[in-house]
Amino acid sequence: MRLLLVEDDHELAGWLVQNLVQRGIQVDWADDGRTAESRALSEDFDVILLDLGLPSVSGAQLLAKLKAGGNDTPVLVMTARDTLAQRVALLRDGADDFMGKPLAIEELEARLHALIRRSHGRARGIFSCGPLTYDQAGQRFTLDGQSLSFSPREHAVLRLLIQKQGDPLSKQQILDRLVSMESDLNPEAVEVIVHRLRKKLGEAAIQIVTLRGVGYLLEAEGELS
Amino acid sequence: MKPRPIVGRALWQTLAMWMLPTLLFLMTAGLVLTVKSLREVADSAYDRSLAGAIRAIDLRISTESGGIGIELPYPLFESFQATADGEVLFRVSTSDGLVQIGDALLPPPPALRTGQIAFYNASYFGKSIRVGAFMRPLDPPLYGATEGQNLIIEVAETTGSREAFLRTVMERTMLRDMGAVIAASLLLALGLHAGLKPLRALRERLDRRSSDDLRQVDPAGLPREVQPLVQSLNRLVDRHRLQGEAQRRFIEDASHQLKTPLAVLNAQIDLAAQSDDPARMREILNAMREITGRSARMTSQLLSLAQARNAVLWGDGVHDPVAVPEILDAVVRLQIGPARQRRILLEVEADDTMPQIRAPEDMLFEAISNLVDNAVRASPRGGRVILAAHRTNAATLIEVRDFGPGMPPDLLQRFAAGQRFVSSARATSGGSGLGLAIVQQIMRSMGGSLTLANGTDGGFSATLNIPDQKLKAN
Repeated sequence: MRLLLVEDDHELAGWLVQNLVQRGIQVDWADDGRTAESRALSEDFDVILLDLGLPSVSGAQLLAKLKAGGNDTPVLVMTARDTLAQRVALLRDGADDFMGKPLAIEELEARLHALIRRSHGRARGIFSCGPLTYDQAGQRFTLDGQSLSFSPREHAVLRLLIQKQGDPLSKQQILDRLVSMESDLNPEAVEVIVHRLRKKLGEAAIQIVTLRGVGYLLEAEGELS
Repeated sequence: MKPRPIVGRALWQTLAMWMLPTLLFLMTAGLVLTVKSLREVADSAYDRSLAGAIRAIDLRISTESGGIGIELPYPLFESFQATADGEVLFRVSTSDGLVQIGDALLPPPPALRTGQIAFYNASYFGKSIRVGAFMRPLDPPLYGATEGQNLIIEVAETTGSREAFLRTVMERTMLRDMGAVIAASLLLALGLHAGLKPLRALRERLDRRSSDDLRQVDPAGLPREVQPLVQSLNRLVDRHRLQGEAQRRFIEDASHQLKTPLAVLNAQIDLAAQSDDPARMREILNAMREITGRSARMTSQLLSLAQARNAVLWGDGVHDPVAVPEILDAVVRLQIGPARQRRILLEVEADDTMPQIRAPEDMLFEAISNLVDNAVRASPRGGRVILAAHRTNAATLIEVRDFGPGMPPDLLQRFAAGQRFVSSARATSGGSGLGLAIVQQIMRSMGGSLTLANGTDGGFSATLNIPDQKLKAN
């Protein structure tokens, strides 16, 4: 894994680099926004670890520039000011994930791997959640390597759930996305579809969680998301 | 950049606007009245000399010869002419017009009554004249007259001198009035300058103060009208000082809160430095990580608390309407990660059609998020946290309920007694206990309240009561 660390605090950067290198991650370090920008554009990184409080070009500006320029390297933002307004702004600007400082290296490593897996999978059109995998090109689901067959509606709902992992989908959101397929769907129909999906997934280490009043969430058992 | 404040009209302008037109009106009216009465006085004075001339002529008329004979009083005319400073004209005639002596071209008199002198204005070759006319019966009538005749004596003078007199008086009056207006304006300016002097002195005193000088302003020596202003100013200064003290207390609390984990870390490092056992070392390191994690969370909560306080201090109290169910949904999406790590279910009970409320969205989100965070931490693995919203008469209630161990009764009592939350027993499992202090602060900024209660069958519920914002008229 090749990582670009953008951090202006030399002490923190030094320790972070040592930690990450020890865990087998190849780290390049830029200590200001301009260098980081030119390197991110000219070289090929798997992931960018970005500090927000940078001199000259701020982290938020850099993020906005990269994303506006169509750079699809996933960006994990480290932030000291962990407020709602900032989170919302970061997500809008295209941050793929964010962590508050100080960060625990183990959690950081797990998130970096998850980010890279997701971005590589997305690039190849493959989404996976625990034992369940969806291949977009072949429009195929496999569970523990076994191919699964679904009705078109079930297929569509499960595809939405696996593509939106970690974010609950409400019935209305599901309906909105299925409405192009069928017009006679109602919320009760979604319940029926989810019920059938649960049956087909059976005892596998994956489940569709119902959050009453919120929506459905696809979740692998034992996974720390 | 704020737009420049609209400056009210200057004091002198306001005063001048009220004073000067009134003064001018009064003076003009006074002038008109003065001229009118002066004219009357002048007329009666000048008319008396006309009357004198008429009587003098009358005395010198004889009809004994059968015709009319007049011996004109030339010396009188001369002195009269000299004082009148103009032309003097006369005519003696009979009412039937048969006899005319003197200036025959004087305009005919109006209807006259015998034995009385009438005065009137007339015009003679383009000049304005004042005429006195007197009529009396002729006894005996003139020779050849068939019936009784009346004799008319008219004496006229040009009005140049009385007009000149009036003009002089008017000019002097106007000069005097103008002088009065100018004097009043000067007095006004002087008075304003002198009256505002204490205010300027006050301003200079305030300007000279150092930025951290929050002493009261001494009202001694300031005029009575300014005293209320000084009192208001002092109240403001007091509020400012109290807030400054609260801020300082907050920073002291915060640094204390941050120092404690640092001390713990220090002790752990000392212990680890003494230890040769790798297993023991690892154990200590894990304990240290817990401490840093907790202080990190605490730091960000302190920041939220400071922001909530700032919102109270600087917020303008005007907010866009927000939909409560949407906020609940957003909070759930933010907290779903940590909650699902421990397999905790987050549920929402809210009617999507409930009316929107006016509240600061960020702050409300922060408050609910803190309550949910607390509830998730207090919940056992696989537990459940319910976010519910409903309406009462004039308020919106948002409740966050968990099924954890609840809060110790003594803490609940301390809370009900209005004590500040700095730390609590819920500070276990990584919480710093600042969450509720933040929520309290936010609720205060919104004029709402936070109610805490243990459930009858276990669990804990925290309820935000947000009164509907009254529309402010500003």
